[in-house]
Amino acid sequence: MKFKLLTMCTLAALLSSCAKNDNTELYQELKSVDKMVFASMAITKTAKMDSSDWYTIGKRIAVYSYDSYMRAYVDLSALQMDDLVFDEDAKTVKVTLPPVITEITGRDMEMRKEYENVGMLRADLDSKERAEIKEKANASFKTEVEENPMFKQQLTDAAKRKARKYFETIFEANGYTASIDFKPSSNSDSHEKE
Amino acid sequence: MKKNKKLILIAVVAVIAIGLYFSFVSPKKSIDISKGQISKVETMAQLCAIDIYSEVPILDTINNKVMFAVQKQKGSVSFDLENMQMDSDGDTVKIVLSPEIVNLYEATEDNSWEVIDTKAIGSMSMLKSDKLTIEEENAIKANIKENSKKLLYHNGTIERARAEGARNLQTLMEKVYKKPVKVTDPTPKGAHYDEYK
Repeated sequence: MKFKLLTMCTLAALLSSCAKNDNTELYQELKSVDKMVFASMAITKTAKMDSSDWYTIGKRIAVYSYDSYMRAYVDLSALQMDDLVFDEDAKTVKVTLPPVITEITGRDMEMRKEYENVGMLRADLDSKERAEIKEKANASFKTEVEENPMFKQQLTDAAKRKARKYFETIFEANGYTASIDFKPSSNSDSHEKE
Repeated sequence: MKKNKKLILIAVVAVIAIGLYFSFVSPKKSIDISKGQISKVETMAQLCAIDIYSEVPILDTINNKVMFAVQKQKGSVSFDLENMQMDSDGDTVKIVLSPEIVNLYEATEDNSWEVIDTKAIGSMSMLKSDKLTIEEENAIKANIKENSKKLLYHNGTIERARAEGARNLQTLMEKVYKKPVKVTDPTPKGAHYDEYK
């Protein structure tokens, strides 16, 4: 409600002046993090809109697509000194990394036009309709990620492989043979945040 | 004769009424969403120092059409750990902080792209369409991304991310190397600061 009011006030203030590009933020939040990102995934959603009725003349069909992104990381702020156990005689190190976490990072701003067929007697699609299409595709994407573990699993597996390779390489350069493991998360091997 | 005129009048009124009714009633609309397809999986080793969340009002003009919208954005500032310059100086490991990677997306929260209004401007604007094509909308969104990135350089977000990235990197590498680590930053304001001046 408060946000709507703020939006409307801004709208009034901005529209009263000549229309110029203006991106001053309404709100910004910066969060300091210490994440080591090992994998990212792009997931394509395609949406088809068809608007017709018995009294309409001509087609009004549009198909758009865009990508949403996820990433997998370990939270390095949770890495303790005793998670790295060095054996100086054998020149080995056992590393236990924090659990791999997956999260949705966002979606493309733009949409790709896959197909559009709007008859001469039909109205062109407007920006609000496109926003509605994207909103529905986004809701479907979030449900899918929540209900289908395949996305998180594939991303987590790729991140673990990469993390092992990365740490093995840097320890090897330092003269150690490393074995990398991951701490289990509280409920499952990986969990998802939005 | 009088009766005929009356009938014609009723017919005309009826046609106008039906026309008005259908111009206000939208035909039924169906939106079908396909299943998500994994189009790319990439691996990397990037240190993310800052997560960004912002809400931005958009007022832009393209081809004499004005759009006002509100966008929720999500992003991050990261550093590539695989292409870092590393060197040894006696007992100290020296690392040069790599250029920042700024990722900026539309958020996936509800109503992350909310179009408030569009209007046509210029001469005879009353007779022109205020509807933006998808290409025009995408051009506006490309502008939004550039402007938001510019703002991150100007409001000190990138500078803060680089300082925090350097600190986090030092902590990590000291655990790995068991030696003192010194991280130097050749571009504290951002490797791409000049591009966004």
